[in-house]
Amino acid sequence: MSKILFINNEGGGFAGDAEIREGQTVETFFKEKFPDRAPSDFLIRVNREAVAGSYVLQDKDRVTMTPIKIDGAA
Amino acid sequence: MNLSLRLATRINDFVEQRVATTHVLGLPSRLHTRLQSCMILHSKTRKAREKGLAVAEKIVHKQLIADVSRLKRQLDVSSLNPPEPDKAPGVRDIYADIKAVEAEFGEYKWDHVRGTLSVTTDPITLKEVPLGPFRIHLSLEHFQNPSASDGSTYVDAINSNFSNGHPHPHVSEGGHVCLGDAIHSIRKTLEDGRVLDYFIILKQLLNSYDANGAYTPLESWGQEGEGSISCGDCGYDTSDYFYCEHCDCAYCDECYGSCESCEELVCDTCRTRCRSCDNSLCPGCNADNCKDCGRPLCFACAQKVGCDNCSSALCEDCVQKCVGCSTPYCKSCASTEIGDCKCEKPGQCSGCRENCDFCEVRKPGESYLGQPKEHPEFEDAETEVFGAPTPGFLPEPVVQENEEKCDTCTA
Repeated sequence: MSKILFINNEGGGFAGDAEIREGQTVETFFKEKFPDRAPSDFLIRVNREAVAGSYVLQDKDRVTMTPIKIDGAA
Repeated sequence: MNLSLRLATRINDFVEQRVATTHVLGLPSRLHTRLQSCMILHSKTRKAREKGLAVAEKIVHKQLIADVSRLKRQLDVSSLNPPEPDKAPGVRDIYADIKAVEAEFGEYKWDHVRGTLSVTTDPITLKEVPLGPFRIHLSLEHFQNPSASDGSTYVDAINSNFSNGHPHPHVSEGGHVCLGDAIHSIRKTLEDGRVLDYFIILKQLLNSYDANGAYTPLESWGQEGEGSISCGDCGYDTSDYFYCEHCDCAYCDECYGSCESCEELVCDTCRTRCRSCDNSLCPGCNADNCKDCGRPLCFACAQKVGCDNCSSALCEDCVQKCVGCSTPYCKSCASTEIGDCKCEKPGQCSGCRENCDFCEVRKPGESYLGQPKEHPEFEDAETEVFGAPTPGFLPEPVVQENEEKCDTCTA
């Protein structure tokens, strides 16, 4: 098993290690983390760069998911 | 050394300083709390033993044994999974973030006087209302104290498409961003030293709109009428407002309510709560304030509890009562009126000490809880009986021959 740094900028802004399988793509990783959400609702970056959903995650990659819509207040 | 590298080094230093100061003990907070509890109980046990309070000592000691046992169990569990202390991200990661910021926003600007890093967004349009580009500022001091960002995240509007003074539905007249859902994630980016994520989250927030949490709805952007005001409390723009006569300010319908005593409408700023009964009060019904804590009291509660000595009003939390007759006192009067009896029975007023029940029945050399006295100062002449006294008897008071006698009862 390889490990990546997963940063979820939704809600509490969780950041921590996550295990990935051999050959796992960023698209399947997203579906595991957000089964009820669409990838188009997020800005998804790997190592600070936008990638295609078919990108195969590597050990020690840094994956950031930031929601497109973040509600402010008054 | 180029600017990006200098900034990365400086940010890393700030994060390292914060991590160092917040992890001095290196003990998880739950264990730290339990350890403190054990120390307090140990101190209480020692004091109870010193004062000869056998029953109290036994109770506290039992609690101490239970707490030490819990602490031991928690230490055993945590030693299996030791928590990893926070680490600063390192200059390399922060440098990579700053370079990614340059790629994302075109460039960044460094204001060395204010210590802020800023980027400019693309022009923002929400629901077909053009708001123009915004300059987002990041104060480097926020890396030292991330929670400070909650009320001091600022943007500048480069376009001047304001409505009621607001450059954006979620930005105040002064440029302060109301973070809403982003409050925790912004704080976390600062804790972790993630510069790129900080700017991206704020960019996404500025590109989002929530009609329920907006200062000015986009539907009426730029159409402020003569009757529209900005709420004096939350800043919401509305034409349906309430005018508070106590502070001469106008408020939206979310920021005022009625006094529970007289039912007068009053704004939330002028409204207080009675410390004792928790009823909301207008300034007119705030009859008095507790002498000791200064919190407001309504008429009924101010009349109900007061110091017997100086007549000051007191709240339920601050009143101090004599354990004998329950007479209420304020803090300063209690310090002079309430004290321990010579038999060590605590918390009695001077009247109750003079007529202390226990003093009349106690055995010589015995304190309030039936423990032998250890302190010589309590072995006063009054309790000493010549010869072999019967327990419980005290010497008869000596009556002087030449004392004046009462005309009525001849005593």
